[in-house]
Amino acid sequence: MARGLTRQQIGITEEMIETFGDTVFGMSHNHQIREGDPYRLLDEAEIERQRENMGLSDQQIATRIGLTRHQVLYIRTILERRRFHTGHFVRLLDLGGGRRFRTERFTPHLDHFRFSEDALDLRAAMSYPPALARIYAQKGWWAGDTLSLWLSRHVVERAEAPAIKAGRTTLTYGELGAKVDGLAAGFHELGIAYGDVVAVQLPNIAEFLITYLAIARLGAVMQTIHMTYRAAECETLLGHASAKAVICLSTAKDYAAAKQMLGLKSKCPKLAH
Amino acid sequence: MARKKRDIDPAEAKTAILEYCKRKGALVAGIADLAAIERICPPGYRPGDLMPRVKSVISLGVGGQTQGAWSVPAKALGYFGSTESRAYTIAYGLAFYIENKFTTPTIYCPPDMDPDAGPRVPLQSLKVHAELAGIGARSLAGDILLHPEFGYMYFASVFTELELEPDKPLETNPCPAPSCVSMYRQIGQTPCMKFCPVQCLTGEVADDGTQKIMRYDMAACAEMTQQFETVPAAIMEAIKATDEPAREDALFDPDNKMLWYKMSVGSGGLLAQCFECMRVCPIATKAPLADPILRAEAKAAE
Repeated sequence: MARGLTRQQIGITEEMIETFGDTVFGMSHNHQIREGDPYRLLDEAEIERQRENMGLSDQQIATRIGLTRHQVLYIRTILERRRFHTGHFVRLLDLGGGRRFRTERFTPHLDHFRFSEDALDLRAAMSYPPALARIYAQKGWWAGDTLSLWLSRHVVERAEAPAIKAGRTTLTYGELGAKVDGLAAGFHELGIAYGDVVAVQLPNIAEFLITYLAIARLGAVMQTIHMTYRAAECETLLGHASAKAVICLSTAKDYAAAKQMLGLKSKCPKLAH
Repeated sequence: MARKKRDIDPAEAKTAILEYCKRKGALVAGIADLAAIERICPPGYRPGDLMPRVKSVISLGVGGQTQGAWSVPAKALGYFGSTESRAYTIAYGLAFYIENKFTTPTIYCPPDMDPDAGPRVPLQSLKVHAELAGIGARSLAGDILLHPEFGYMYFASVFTELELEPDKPLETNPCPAPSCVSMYRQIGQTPCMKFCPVQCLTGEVADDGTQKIMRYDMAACAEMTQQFETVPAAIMEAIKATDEPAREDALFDPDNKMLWYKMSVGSGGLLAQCFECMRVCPIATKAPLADPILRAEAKAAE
């Protein structure tokens, strides 16, 4: 309403808002351009020349475009509302105390939280009974730890302690951490990033754990493939997961794993490495 | 019974009025040229539209926040950065003072929105009054008025039927400051332009270091400073919501629930104000008498 009159009584339709909206908004004080300092200098000729750039009153706009003042008032107010972004004030929440806004470093808050449809489906599929989750959290078993942090902590606190024993080989936490970092760096060089799927077809060897931890380091996703699976199964699984890379043995007995996986690249478009 | 008007010396009246303002806490006050205001401001927004027999427009300015406030996080600065209520209190008292002392009709000029023009349109432009009274000049920061000694201030106006000699606008404009000109020459932006969170300011500095063009996207600025419009937007989201959790979020999630609290407290300053352009302005923060510390130091040095 304006002056107690509804939009119908004022003579406003959605078509009018569409037709005149941009013009009214552009002529209003919502965008102001001032050249020089005419107000302080009392240069009234210049003030008058720049009047439209500085924004016209609703009556002045109405006179220019042939609407009534209340029609302009209504259209302007509606446009101001429709163009208003409600969440921009959150940009203030991280500023101050020496931190200034920088256009080149600014990522809209919403873009930090864009997930793929697949990721959202996966998240929705992972449910825990609330009562159980509450118990685990209260006992401190779910403390917000991650695999990567867990490993880093052990590397720092007990670097010489054994982490993996595989046959006669023992890897300390320090050695494990170094191998994981190296492999993660290699993945990174190949362009593997947060959210990417890396398929792994390895037996129960130390490299399986190293690979898993390196994938976790990057925030990528590990897809496991049974050692018994061959081309047909692997093609289906790699395609379904949109795997970007696959880690496997070069050969295992009569199974030329690496050659097979390389051959699947042409059939799995996302498979790059 | 006709009121008996005593003879009033305009010069003495002006002195008394300006001293009253300073005594009550204004940093500076002046008289704006009514005729100039009437020519500049559009019909409906001239002093005569509010007070038909007005003869003089008095403008006064009060200081902004304390020096310490500039180091506060941006999210909290709005809570105590605005001191405009002090200006309004002084102006309100001034109107009564003038009527008591000079028995002349006077009004405190409301800083509020024109009920007949929707939000974002004030009844009068306090900015024009202050500028013509010589107590501020338009800056590249969206025409915020700055004073070479006091930095940025909040302004209030009083209209009176007393005839007072008007003052002149400031002879020079302190904006842009030399450091801002230097920055502009290097990167094409002044600090206020560079650090605005919604990039509402652009402009140009002339070769002689004065303002060439000021561009202000007031609509974008309002998205930071005027959360008022978020309130009906939240209600609309709740109405449009298709399920209970969405409705609940629209009304009661952390961001929106804050709005109801702010409205309940009733302070406009809680729903508005982003200070980032002023935080990085050398005039606002470092003018010789810009804050209580600088003013106290200046007084001690006298």
